[in-house]
Amino acid sequence: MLELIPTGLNIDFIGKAKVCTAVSLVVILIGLGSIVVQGGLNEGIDFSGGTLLQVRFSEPADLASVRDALGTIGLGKSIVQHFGDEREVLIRAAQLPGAEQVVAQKVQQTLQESVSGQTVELRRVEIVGGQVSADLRRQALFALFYAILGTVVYLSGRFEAKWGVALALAAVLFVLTYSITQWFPGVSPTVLIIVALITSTVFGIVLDLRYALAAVIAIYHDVLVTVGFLSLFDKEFDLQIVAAILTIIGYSLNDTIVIFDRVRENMRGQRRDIFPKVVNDSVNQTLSRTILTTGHTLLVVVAIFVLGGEVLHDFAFALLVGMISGTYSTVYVAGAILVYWHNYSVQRQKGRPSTANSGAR
Amino acid sequence: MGRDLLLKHGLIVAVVLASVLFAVPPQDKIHLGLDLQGGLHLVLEVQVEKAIERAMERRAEAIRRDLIAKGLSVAVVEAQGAQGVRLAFSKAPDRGPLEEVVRNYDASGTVRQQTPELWFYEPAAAELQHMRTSSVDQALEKIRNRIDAFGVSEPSISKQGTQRIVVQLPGLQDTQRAVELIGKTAQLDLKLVHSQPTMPGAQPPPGTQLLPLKKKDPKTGQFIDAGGYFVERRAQVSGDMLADARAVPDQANAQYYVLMRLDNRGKKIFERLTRENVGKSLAIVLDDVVFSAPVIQEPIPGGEARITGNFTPEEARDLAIVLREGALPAPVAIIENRAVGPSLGSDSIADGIRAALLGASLVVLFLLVYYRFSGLIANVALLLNLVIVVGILALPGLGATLTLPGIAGIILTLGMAVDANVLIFERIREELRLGKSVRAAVDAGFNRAFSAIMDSNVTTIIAAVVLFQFGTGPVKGFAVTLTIGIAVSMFTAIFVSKTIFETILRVRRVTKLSI
Repeated sequence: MLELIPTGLNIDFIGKAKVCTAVSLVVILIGLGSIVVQGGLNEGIDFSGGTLLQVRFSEPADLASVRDALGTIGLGKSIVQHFGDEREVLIRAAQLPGAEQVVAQKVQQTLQESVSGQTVELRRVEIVGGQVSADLRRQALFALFYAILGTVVYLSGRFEAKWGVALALAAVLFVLTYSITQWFPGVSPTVLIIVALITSTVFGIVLDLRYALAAVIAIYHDVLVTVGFLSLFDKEFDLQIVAAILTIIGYSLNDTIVIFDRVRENMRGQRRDIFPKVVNDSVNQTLSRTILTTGHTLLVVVAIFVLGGEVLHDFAFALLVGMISGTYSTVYVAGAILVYWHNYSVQRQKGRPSTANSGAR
Repeated sequence: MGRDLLLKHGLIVAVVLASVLFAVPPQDKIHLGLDLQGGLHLVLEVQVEKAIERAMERRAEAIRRDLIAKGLSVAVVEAQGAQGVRLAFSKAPDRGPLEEVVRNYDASGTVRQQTPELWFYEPAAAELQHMRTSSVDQALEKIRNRIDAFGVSEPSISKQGTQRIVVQLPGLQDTQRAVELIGKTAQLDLKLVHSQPTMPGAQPPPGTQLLPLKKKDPKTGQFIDAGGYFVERRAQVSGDMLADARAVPDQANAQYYVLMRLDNRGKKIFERLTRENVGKSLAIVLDDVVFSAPVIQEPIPGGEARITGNFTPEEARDLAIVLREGALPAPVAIIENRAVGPSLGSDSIADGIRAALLGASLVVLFLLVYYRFSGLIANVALLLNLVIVVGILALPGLGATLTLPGIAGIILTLGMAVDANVLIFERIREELRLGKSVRAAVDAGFNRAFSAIMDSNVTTIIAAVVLFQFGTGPVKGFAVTLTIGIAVSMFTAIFVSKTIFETILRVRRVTKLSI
């Protein structure tokens, strides 16, 4: 039997939780910092509107001369870069539709004239207007909102076996967001997302839905890390990236569910004070499947990243980052939160009887 | 073999056979998205307010005619945009006949008296709403006719929201030409020329407007400004009076022109117009641009007119199409335009297939090395997963579309499908380590891993369903394949691989499991 992780291996994961929490925070802060420094997310034309042209030259193209040629038709400010290989050039212009529908034709003609003896093929044209991009952005945010909502509600029901509570949470979130949209028509979905996050977190803390909350915070961690990395590597945010993030939200839970189920199983009939040890044991016991499942999926994502072509490149990149982060966060975010929470409530309970005693005296 | 096991085998064989039947040959059975086969995706916004203005202008003209026919002393009848129609009389009319005429067109409209001679017709809100809706419906119908005449296989034209139209033309090569054909309002007017501006910035004389003249640059083939004309505001003949239009080669200069034939009403008006205005110029105006302004040499009784502009055969043919099918009720703005060339589409397919092959072989190899014989079982399940997913994608009633992100979704679900097997196999190993028999370990492995598999799939499907709801275009294809892939993996990774295990355990006495 081939084994990735030898049976009986016991690594002290939880012991390093503090260091890793710090690392997580630093990574997230760097990512968020890079977004702030760049003045927001680097939005693709899906969300910002504009024109995207993909052109293929028959021979390797010189970006400077492409830029010069574009300058002659007033598109000198376009972003010009190679796409995949040297012959393929991606041009991003601020041009909106309507103003000039023939922009694509004009670019092709101009580029054709700038290189003699070469063929210039217009491979892709995407022109997105301001209204459409605003709609797409709104839809993307709502998609995030509902994905998080659905996951939070499902997890509350699933982990805590309290479907009534989960339904109540769903109802509260629904009524709350619905009334916000009624009171403030046209409210940004971002506000709804933040409201939903805060509400569900408070709900989780007050009702002690610790497993669900720990899992959900691990998801937030993965999304933040992914977004931060995309910003650091100057990747564009478009609909595909949103699809990748939604996939990460769904997928990064898988390991968490396996480990948490194991914690439950191992805690049955155990004394509460060995909880941190049980969490650590559970992580160790499930380590090989955690690595194997993520590993397999990473294998296929790497295949997409390497061979899937330029169009899928950033998508695969986002999935790679998110899945690696998802595995890490299973142990060091979700597991760590369970332990922190346990320690905190143990301390509180220790404190309580003594104050009660002093009060009685 | 037991009866239940036979049933299970039967079910698996049936599902796989059905999938193969549906999916073969895949290149014909699977509907490819625009990003894979190339083509054009357009979103148009109908400028409905313009449509209302035009409709009100037409209504004003109709009311004017009816009022005159009733013998009322009409001075001016003038549309005021969407507000309504101003009706001025030289002698104060009675309310009765006036209202009767207006009600004929708008039963719930109001007619207000401002002074005895000055009245105002205000359309009802419902009437305006009806104009808006019908202008979008009409525009959609016209665009559909144009595309049909242009000749595109499997076009998809649909309404989105209240005033948008989505046009999808798969496999189209000359996307730029299609954009122009679809986006053109094609409002044709024949208007008498008053004069030519003597200097730039000159004010048009009363009752006329300045329209630009465009001429084709013989070098670039683009239409460029070439001065302008003051033409009468009122069109004598317009595009709705056309009986036919077609492209005709011009023997003289090897270019094409468009020959128009007017219907009977147009023929009469055109004949009178040319008879009364010999020596004047008649501007042929398309979407407020003058194409030519020939001098009327003699009365033209036959009702034929031509638009010349040194057109290429394609330009002339497209112009004839839009004229024949008629003008859009209002201009449309193209607010989204995505075109993928066929070469990029086929490159994407090749990339997708290469990535799928690499991904699948890595996974297959790993399973074999790590789980040996059990890995082989998982690989069989994986292969069936792929076959069934493709079969479902090809299912005729489902209308699923395979896009590039969709291919990524299939590859991804191959990885995720294996997750289920890993969870099961790791559990079986664990049970074996505890000293259970092969049979008991396999049973326990499948049973106890089930809930974790279910949960992880549910959360991924939640995300995929949300994406399907909110996503558009290629990304929607990803949601589709992700959902199908995960659902199918429940069948293959659990049901199929368990059935294989059960069969082996029943047929042979297994004391040691290769896992």
